[in-house]
Amino acid sequence: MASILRVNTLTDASSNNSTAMSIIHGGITRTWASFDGTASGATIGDSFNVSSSDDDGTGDYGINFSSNFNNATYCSTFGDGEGNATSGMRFLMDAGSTTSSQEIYGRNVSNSAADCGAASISIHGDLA
Amino acid sequence: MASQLKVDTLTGVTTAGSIDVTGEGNSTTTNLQQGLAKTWIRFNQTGTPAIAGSFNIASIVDGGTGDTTLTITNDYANVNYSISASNDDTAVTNQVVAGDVAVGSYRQRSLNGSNALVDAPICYTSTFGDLA
Repeated sequence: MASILRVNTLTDASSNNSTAMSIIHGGITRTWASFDGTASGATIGDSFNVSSSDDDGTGDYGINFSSNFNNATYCSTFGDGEGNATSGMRFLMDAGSTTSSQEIYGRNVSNSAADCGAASISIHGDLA
Repeated sequence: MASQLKVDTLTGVTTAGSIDVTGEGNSTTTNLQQGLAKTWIRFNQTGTPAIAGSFNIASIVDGGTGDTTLTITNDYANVNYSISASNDDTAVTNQVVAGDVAVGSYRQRSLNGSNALVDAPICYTSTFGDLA
């Protein structure tokens, strides 16, 4: 049977490592995903709180959230998985945030739009 | 009234590995296990590479200039986990990238503006996904 526990602080049984629920609550990542930016549709490998992804062209992606954020001022961090020095892929960046989606640009060493083969994103913020 | 729960392990009732936490709006819930960073690390590539702080990282292996492999203590269930990486962005290092992902390790490289490997004084990485 499902149950709800209402508590302010979690502490281990030895009374160490005390953590307020507000810290746990604030620190949980609300969204994460890995996707293939070279594939049609920016195919999601695995994710949390992502309903779909979209491919808007070379180096131009978007992920849509299952549960929306309370505002668009959340924190997005990215990872570029093309890790050899000759791929030319340089970085992923925020291309626009809304409460329901995050747009993403990929850029190469010439700062031109480029697809990223193994892209990652994680987002912290407040859900609606 | 303030309350404190003393416990070593939290386990879901319906599903052992799934516990919901009520969100800021007091209605929407988010999943505790899915939202937790499964690894994080701060380390240096310059000099003798060393871990300054980390969680669930067993070791780092220096693969040469700007090239470090990080091994995970408790492995992931698959290779589709999310990796976010950055560095201290000095004049010599523009971006850190990660690649060669396995369930028990991943590789982090630092490149300069000429797309050449370069040691970064400080590297940061956090990962999210499903543990085995």
